[in-house]
Amino acid sequence: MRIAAFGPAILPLIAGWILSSPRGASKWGRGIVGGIDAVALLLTAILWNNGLGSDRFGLFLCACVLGAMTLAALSPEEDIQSLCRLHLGASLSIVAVSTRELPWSVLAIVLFGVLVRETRERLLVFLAPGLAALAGLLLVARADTADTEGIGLILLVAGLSACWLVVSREVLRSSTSGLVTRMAVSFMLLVAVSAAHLRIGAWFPQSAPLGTVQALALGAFALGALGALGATRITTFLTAIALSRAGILLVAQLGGVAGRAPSLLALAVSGVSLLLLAAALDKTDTVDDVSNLGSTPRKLVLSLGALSACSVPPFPGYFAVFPLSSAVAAQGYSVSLLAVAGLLFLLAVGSMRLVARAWDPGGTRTEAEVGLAALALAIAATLFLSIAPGRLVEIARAAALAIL
Amino acid sequence: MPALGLSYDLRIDGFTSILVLWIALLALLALLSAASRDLGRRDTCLILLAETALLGLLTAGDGVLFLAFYGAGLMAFTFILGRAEEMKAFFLFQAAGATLAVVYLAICYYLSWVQTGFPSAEIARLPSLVTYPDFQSRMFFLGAAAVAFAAPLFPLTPWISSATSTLAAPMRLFLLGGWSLAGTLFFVRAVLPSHFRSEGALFLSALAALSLLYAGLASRRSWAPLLAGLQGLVVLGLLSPSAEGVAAGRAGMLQLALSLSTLSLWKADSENARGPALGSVLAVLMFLPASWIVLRELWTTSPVLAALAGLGLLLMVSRVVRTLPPLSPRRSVLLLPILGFWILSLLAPFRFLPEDAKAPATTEEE
Repeated sequence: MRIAAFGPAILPLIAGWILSSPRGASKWGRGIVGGIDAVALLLTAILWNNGLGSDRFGLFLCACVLGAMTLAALSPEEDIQSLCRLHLGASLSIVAVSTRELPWSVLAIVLFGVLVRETRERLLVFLAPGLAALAGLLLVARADTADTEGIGLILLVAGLSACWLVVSREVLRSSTSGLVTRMAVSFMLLVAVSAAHLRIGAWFPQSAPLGTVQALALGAFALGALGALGATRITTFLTAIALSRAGILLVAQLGGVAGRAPSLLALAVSGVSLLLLAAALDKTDTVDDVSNLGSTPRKLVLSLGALSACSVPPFPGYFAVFPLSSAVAAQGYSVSLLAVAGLLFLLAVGSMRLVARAWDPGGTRTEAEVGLAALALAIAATLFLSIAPGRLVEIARAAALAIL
Repeated sequence: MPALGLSYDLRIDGFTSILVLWIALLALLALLSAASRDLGRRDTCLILLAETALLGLLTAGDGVLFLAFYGAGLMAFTFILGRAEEMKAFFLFQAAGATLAVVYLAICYYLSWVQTGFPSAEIARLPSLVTYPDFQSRMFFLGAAAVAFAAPLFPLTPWISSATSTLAAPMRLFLLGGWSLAGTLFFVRAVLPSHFRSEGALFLSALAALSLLYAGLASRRSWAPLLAGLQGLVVLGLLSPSAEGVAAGRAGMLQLALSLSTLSLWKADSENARGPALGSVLAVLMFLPASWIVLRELWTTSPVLAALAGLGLLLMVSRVVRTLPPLSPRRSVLLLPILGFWILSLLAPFRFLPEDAKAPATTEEE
């Protein structure tokens, strides 16, 4: 039975192989790939309950990765190469979240970045944070004093965060694939980086670089909120929203042990919000184009994604705010929390810019439906995260307990 | 949701039962105030959604649930406005109030966790939280700031005129008669029982008196000064040190809603409107009894603020009576249930008394 635990990591590889085959682009090929992704997700759910002693923390994050991948596979994506890369990236991401060895995790993240980048330009911008993370890893491995370990951890945390930012920005701005695929790649890397951050916090409670995490969190959040307010291109808007969600996840890390479960909850909500937003905004170039959306389901999905991303009540994400803020306040970061509240307000105003345009009666309507997968996810997320978040909180708590 | 320390319980007391009745009646009036062919499917859905949110807001027993309904109402009313510019302006000010309210309740949730070991935002438990006096003052200030944005009080009113002037009668009726309760309801249920009698009360009283003065001195005929002035009157009543003043403030919440609903039946009426300008007098009459008690109680604690507020009120009343055109016969019929509800509310003053003021009376009866 233990071999079943490898399923979630291997099945995306098989799906990627099918996609790269000559018939991978056909309707049948896409159907089989969607089925394999769904089986991988189902297997993860079964592993949670079967008493195999699986790492529940890894399984939770694995489910997040597979959920994003399945949604991307079911969306009408035309670029098969991107889908192939997404599946290979998913395997690497699952390795990064499942392993209990930091070197494997960091290597998988850097390799993920190398694999999903479509352009070979500005290699130095990508390599610098990756190398910083590896240097940090080396310092931590050979540290003989607490100071060296602290510097190593700072390099590691900052390097991984910067790596995510560089890769996300490049992937989201690439023009060959659909927005859902691009956002899924960005989110899967975010899951892997968050797993590394959470494990660093758990494994090095004394020398965890909380000052760096705080600066990164507030910086990322501020950049994201201001970016969402001023963005004119959709890709810039999505990058800004993703950045602010990454900021929230970093803020949750400040909450220590009590902040782990809210952090996982916020991660799941981020995935749902970002993917819904991407699904609704697919094939739009500028923020002004949003006023031409004709389909009501698409506008509803857009509203749900945009408002959930900034934790506006009662959308998914709102209920996670309370345990998260309590955990962070308990560690004495009250001023940072107030700053976060202000930035959340700015983010809400930035998101509302888009939602208000979508529902404005003016504008030329173009009928373009949102994918069925996105609609199903929107309904499921609303039901699960808004109406019964208690169950998800219990799952996140069980996952957080297994972090060591 | 025991995992989060939150509950879905809905509760109702004497005061909220009247407001629940009013919201139910208001939804009916809003649907009847326009012909069904004029009120599209989208607008009908939004009115019903807003009604659900307002009913949830009135009955929520948990602060987090209260804010969830508040957010739902905020979204429903944002979409009711329809046009992007109005939606953005309304959302900007109301979301600022909602953010402050979320911060306020998040702090209470945390305090409950620290003091009892269990996180909770149950509204009934908020008064039992123990805090230092200076912290009490800061919390009150935070709650007051949320109310100033949400109510809204002067000078946080720029969204009102543009939003209400473009709306059709049913939507305007629901926005002014329903949503105007939300901000002060947060004040009554979450802030006042927990963090009262602090320096922040003086700040809020001054803001409320200024709102009344603004309502009296504003030169343009618009909804912004009227709404801010009436909200100022309600807030002054709620901040009153006596139970009678608080009851007048609570009654003022309902009478503000009734009065604004009456007035909102005018705008965009047919050009050949006929009939007496009786409606404007009725609208003024609706909030005058509560005004008298509020100003009388305020005079005992702060004569300057009472004089300022009284002057503003007088000027506002004269402006309302002078500037309103007569109402069409069709709309006059809709006035009757509002008037009936007002008389009903006058007959049940006990329901507006705060719970702690009712308790000794019950003991005496026993």
